[in-house]
Amino acid sequence: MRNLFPSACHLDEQHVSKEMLLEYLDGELGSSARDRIAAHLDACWECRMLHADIQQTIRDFMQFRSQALSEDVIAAPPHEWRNFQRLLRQQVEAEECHKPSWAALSRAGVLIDSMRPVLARVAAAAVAIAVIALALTWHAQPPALQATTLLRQSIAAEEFAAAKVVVHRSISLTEHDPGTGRVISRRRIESWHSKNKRIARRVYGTNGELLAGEWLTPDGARVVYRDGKMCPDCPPQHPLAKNEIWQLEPGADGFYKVVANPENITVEATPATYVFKYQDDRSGSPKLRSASLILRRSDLHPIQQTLTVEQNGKLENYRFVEASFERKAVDEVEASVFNIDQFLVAPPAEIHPSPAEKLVEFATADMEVEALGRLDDVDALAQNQLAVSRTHDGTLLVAGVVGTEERKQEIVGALGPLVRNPAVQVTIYTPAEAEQQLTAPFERLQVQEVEISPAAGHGNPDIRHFLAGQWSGSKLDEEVQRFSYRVYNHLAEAQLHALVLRHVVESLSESEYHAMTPEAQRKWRYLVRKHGLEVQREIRGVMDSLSPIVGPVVAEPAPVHVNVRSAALQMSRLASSADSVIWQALASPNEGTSAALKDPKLWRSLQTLEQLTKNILDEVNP
Amino acid sequence: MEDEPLEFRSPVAEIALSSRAIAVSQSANATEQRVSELFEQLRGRIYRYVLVISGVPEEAEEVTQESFLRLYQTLRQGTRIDEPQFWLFRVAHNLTINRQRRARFEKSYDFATWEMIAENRADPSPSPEQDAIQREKYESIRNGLARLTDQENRILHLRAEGLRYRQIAEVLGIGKSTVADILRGGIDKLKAHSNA
Repeated sequence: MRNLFPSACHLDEQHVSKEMLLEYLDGELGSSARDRIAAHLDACWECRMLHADIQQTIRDFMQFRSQALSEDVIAAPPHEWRNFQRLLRQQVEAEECHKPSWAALSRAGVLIDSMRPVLARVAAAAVAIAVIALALTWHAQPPALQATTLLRQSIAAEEFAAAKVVVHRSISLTEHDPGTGRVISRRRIESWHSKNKRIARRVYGTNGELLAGEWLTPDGARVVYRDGKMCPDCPPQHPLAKNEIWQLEPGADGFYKVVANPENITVEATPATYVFKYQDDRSGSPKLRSASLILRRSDLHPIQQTLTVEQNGKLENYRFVEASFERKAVDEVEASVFNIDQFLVAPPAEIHPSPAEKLVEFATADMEVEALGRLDDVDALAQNQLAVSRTHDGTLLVAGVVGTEERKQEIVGALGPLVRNPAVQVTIYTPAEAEQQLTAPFERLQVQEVEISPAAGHGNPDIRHFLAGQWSGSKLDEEVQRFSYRVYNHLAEAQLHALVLRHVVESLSESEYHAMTPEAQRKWRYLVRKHGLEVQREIRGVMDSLSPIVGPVVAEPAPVHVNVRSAALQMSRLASSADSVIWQALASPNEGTSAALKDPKLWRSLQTLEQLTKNILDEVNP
Repeated sequence: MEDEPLEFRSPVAEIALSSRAIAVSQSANATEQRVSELFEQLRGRIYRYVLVISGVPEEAEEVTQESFLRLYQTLRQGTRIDEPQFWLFRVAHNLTINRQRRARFEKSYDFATWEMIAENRADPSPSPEQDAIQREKYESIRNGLARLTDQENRILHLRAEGLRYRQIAEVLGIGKSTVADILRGGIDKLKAHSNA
């Protein structure tokens, strides 16, 4: 039988591993592992030295850090936080100042739509008054300030407009020869903005081909596609560089971003628009030489923008014109518009047989799920406990140690085209290779076969008593041992599948799950479901085997997490603690009393495990 | 699983203090007030982390401010944020990485800077002998730090800020077991140098 936690189960024979010691120090272990390690440390000087060593390293690091980054360094950044309160105040004011007029505009829109002309005229009058008030305010202020104020109001209005809905814009982007005005290139930009700053922006060529794209999630994570590839590590570019400029769709915030001296912005009012202009005579590369932005006067909505950029001594002229603008309710929009286009992360099925075939140079969540699925097909997650993870630089690591060369070949074969993908790094070793190759960080991946023997002595007295009705003599000893093995095996398997389930669940963040293709989502749910069912089956096995022996035990399941992630974590912890209780009851002749098998805590754990599994299965059901 | 907040519980009292969920029904002024309080309370820690990973004090200050402004906007858009301090670390991290991608600044707190700051800030030690021992110790830690990968550096500093493995994993968008592995690798490197 496999031993899942050699260092934890056999502290008397083995020292505490380094990784467990660090997790122990960091309070990341469950209470049973913690207690066992504490007991081992009491007894073992060698491990205590390692413990002290790690503590000392942490202490040295913290001392150095507090010296280098002391409180007074932190308290006094270069501008001493001078701008923050002002910027925050501006946001509050912009929001408060623009909110009513926007509400009036919205109401006007709704009423006009519903053909109620009288009220519509009243609403339109309210808008007109608001515009006049705005114009009066403007005349009362110095011109430069007024330009920036209007721009800030426009930013707030746009943000407010996008707060509860999804905004979709189509923009035509043309590049002109600054001398002759001739069109050099035409592009179409489709952008989607949702509340919480979720953004997708795609640039298409004249034949409808996708040339570039940008996807942002609310927490600021950003993925870019350009020059034919996904770009986590593309060479850095200036925002005004030729292949970056499409990200500056018409808008006050983008305008601010590229303008070096906002105080030089001027504004003119036409009957229907505000026209902002900017000029910078200093040269540089890339450098914004002039720019203009046109806002609709009624709602300060940006409709056109031009940029003249100096690049390597030449001028380039870009014109962005809004072709369409729509505000949609969240449920009217396909969630996929915010996802990275499927073919960028996986090529179309008719061209390549496998979604992983395309050489994507950046490991995606879809790829990780693909790898997990392929490894699971040959049982490598449960049986070999292979580690699959993505690194920050976009590499997918598949690592571990397997028993034989044949098994290694089988697993590598199962990974199929993923092995050839440059973003995937497979480090699977046989024990012999591991000895030559591995350094400390991989030690824990080694599978250690340790013979365990529940019921080494006479076994648990209750089990013995139960079986004594049918067997006697040496046959009874054998049956007690077989029974104990069976119970322990169920729990060991449950624990194993709980670990795999947790591994699969923790492989993705929630936002990554939603950004995946439906196919990858289906695969992920299948993996979670498969191992959830296994846990459920094995836990039921433990309970069914023990029930006739211990009789009724009153235990209420503990409150459980409904969130899949938290549930998976709670599940793997519970399985591990139930394991130690059962182990005590079955394996240790002195402590193996009936009390341990009837311990309400054990039954509470088992029932909670059942409930957790049920919750997870309910959650991932299609 | 879409709408449920992920659970990030931290036993560190200091974090718990600033981790009260912010009600979304607050007015603009009340939100401003709360964001200002959090800013006073947490700006130093966010700034310190961004400074370590960006290496540019001006940028660290900007990113820190931007993170708090985003907190305000996000709250005003009706989003409930369960643990603002942890949310801020994540946003600040992402903003920094995005800026690095745009090449505004690329290096981690470089070691000449570490050195300069450490030199300037060194406490006057009671004796030249102790001073020498102290310098030697810092020298070895600096050497250890110079060998850390970006990710090891980030994880060590986030851990030093009191974040748990699970929280660090969410900030960096990696698995929790990866956090444990990388942290151990980092500690090993520092240990190797402090024993050298």
